[in-house]
Amino acid sequence: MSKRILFVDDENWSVSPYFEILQDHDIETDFAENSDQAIALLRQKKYDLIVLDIMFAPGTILGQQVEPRRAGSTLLAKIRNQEIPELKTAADVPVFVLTAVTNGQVLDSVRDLQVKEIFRKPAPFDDVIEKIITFLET
Amino acid sequence: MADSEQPSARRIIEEIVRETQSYNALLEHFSALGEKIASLSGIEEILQQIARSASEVLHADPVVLFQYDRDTSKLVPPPIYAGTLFEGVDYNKTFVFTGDTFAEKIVKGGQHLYFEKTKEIEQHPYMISEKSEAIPGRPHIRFHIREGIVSVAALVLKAGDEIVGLMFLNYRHKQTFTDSAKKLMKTFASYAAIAIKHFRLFQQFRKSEAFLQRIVDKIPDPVFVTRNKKIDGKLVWRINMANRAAHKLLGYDYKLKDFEGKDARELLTVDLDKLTQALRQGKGEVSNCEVVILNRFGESVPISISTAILERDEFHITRTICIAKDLTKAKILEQQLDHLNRATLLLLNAESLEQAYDTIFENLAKIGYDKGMISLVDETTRTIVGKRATGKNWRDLQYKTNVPLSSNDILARVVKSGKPELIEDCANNPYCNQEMVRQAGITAQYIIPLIVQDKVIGALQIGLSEKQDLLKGDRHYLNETLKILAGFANQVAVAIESQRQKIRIEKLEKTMADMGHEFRSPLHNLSAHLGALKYHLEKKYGDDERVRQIAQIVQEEAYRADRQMKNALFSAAESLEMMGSNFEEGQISETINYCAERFRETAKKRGITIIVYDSVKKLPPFLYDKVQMEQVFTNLIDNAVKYSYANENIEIKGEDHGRRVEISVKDNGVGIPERWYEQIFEEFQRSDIMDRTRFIPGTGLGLKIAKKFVLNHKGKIFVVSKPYLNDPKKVMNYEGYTTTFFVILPKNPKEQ
Repeated sequence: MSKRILFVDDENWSVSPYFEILQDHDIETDFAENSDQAIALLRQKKYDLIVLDIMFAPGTILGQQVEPRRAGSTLLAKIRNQEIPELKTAADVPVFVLTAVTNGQVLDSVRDLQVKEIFRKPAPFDDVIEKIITFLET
Repeated sequence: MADSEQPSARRIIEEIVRETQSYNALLEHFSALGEKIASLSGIEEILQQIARSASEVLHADPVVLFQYDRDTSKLVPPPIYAGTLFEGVDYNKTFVFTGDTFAEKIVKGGQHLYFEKTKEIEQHPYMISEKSEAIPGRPHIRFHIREGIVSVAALVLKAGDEIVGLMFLNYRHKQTFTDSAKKLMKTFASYAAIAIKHFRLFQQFRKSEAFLQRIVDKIPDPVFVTRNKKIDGKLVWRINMANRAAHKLLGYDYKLKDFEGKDARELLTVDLDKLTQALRQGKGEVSNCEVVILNRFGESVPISISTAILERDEFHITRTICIAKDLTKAKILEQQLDHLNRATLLLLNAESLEQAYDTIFENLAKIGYDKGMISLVDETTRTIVGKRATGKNWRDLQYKTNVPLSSNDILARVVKSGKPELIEDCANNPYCNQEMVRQAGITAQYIIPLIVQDKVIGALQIGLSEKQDLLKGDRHYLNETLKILAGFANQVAVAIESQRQKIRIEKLEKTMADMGHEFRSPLHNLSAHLGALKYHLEKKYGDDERVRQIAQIVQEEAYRADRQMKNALFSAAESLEMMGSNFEEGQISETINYCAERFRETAKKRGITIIVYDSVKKLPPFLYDKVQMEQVFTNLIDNAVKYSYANENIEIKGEDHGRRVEISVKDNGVGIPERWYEQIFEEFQRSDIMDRTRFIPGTGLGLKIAKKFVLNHKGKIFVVSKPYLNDPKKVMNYEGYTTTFFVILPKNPKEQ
């Protein structure tokens, strides 16, 4: 059974370079450019991994305004705390963070949400691929 | 004439004499006899008592009694009469003995005289030698004739050596003055003399009491006069005089004198025995002894007393005067200061400017200053703007406060001069905005400049309109109060400035984070797409060295761009000290490895190996800022790789120094002249050394930022560069040098 991965990033081209190589490894890749799209996809399918950006606009989650600087971490917090209706099953989905945010406080708050890996942009291409594949294969 | 027959007068006199053995005993006796003596309103009464007694005891009739004034050496008119007198003559109005030199001569003679017959008087030398006028005209003789007096005893009233009066015992029947009669008269005379003397002393004493009271009343500080007695072997101090201030201090009504006569022990929590001891051993004075005194409501009032002995007898200190300094005000000042000091701590922990303002006014209100305003200088408009006020009128004023710095307004004057101003009467101050002052109903205020590092950032106004007591009261207390308020204003200034700095830093950090994000994202996209391109090409055309090379270069350049951008952003911060540090426990080897990893590929191409020794890994976890240290070691390794010769090693070692750790980054390559050891951490000066020695390309900020971050950790960074080749020419050109950068960090930068 093939693995499935969801990339959440407001810039598609920021994560799209990973798609081809991952697909070649029999990994299904989906993409959401904001929280609401991500929620919609998470409701439809079960993912083995989410690769999540932290800072993206617009900062809304289900019509609720959130700080764009922390849009990703807010979304993850809501998923972990089962605050999103019909999304209880995704509460413990494994998450990698891929972000250009360097603020220590923000990163720490993300770390507290049980993320498996934090990549800081610019992240080495091979490193990201290797870690994703290794994680999904084990 | 037995004593028992005439008991009353004898008893009083004998009682007095018996009980008044000495001067001090007499004083005590008089105070103890209290009512009896105090009921005698003046000397006349006691003289009358004596005269009446003489008339009764010695059967003289009439008795004429003079007081003698030692100071003027004169008999004091009018005399006191007792017995029956010729009717129709008011002796009190017609002074019979005016110019009675006869009586005066008897007093001067100092001897009792006894005249059994009228003739003896008329022929006595004292009578004859004086005044040549006809004998019947002489007042004394005239008196004798009018009253039908036959025998006279003239008794000089002498107490010890002091003559206090003269008493004529007149008899209308011829007397024979036997020795025993004379003895009785003499005894009576001496008793009477003692009584008069003591009464005079008592009066004098009463006069001196009044005198003392007048002095005491003039002293503005609280004064207590105590009378000290031994009761049951213990010395008791009783307060027997106090002034208005003393009454006020203890909460009593001055007129009531409620606490007078109380044992000082009841009021003072002072060891009186100790104080007495101190008085005895010293020079009879004790200065500034801090004691606690109880007021009418049983509350403690702290005072400091200075005590001096007023009177003492052989054994005891019998009277003391205590001048008290009310320490209540000093204590209030102390409490206020204490309170404001505690408020300062709160202020420094304030989370926002608004919270700081709240803290300022809440705490000023707690010590009684509930009206006021904070105004700050707006540098762009060059005006002083009301920022926060408390108290209704002041709040109205706040919105109207917009004072140009160039104006002559009192606020502008204080800000410009940097000196506080106490304005006790705003209405008559030419620099106060009269309209505003009137509208706000402000009569008095204290304006304190808010100064941070010699820069006036605004002013704190404290309303004193309702503080007339303070303004009109003790000047010293007022000044001390103002000093405390001004001291607090300093803390206010620091707090406001640090809040403003914090806001600036937060803004800056946000800007930097946003900018960083905006730079990093395209860099990431670049490298990710390159990765994808490489993968794609390899997939299509197989493994290709050239593709890998290009990809590698683009990748490295992306990282380099990232590094440079970080440095640029950090230095964009106007002052790097402004950057807050986020100290967390971490394993420094992880940070160093992360940094080293990024250079490993680049280094490998020149045959350079970056070795992170185990000694780094063995360093214990300690507190450091990960972002900052990452940048420090990125910059140091970047530098080392750049200036290392090919095929050399870059060695990173760690050493645990207990409270500090030392990490060194060593390379063999281009050296650094010793004179540049310091400057390389400052702004880079290219021209001088760029040809011969290492210099920092690009922004030239790497080491400067490294130093700033190390200093943020209260650590040290320095470099040592020594030649390892023995070729003088190379040494001259700084070739072949071992260059080591040392970073020393405290394990707990917060404790430093």
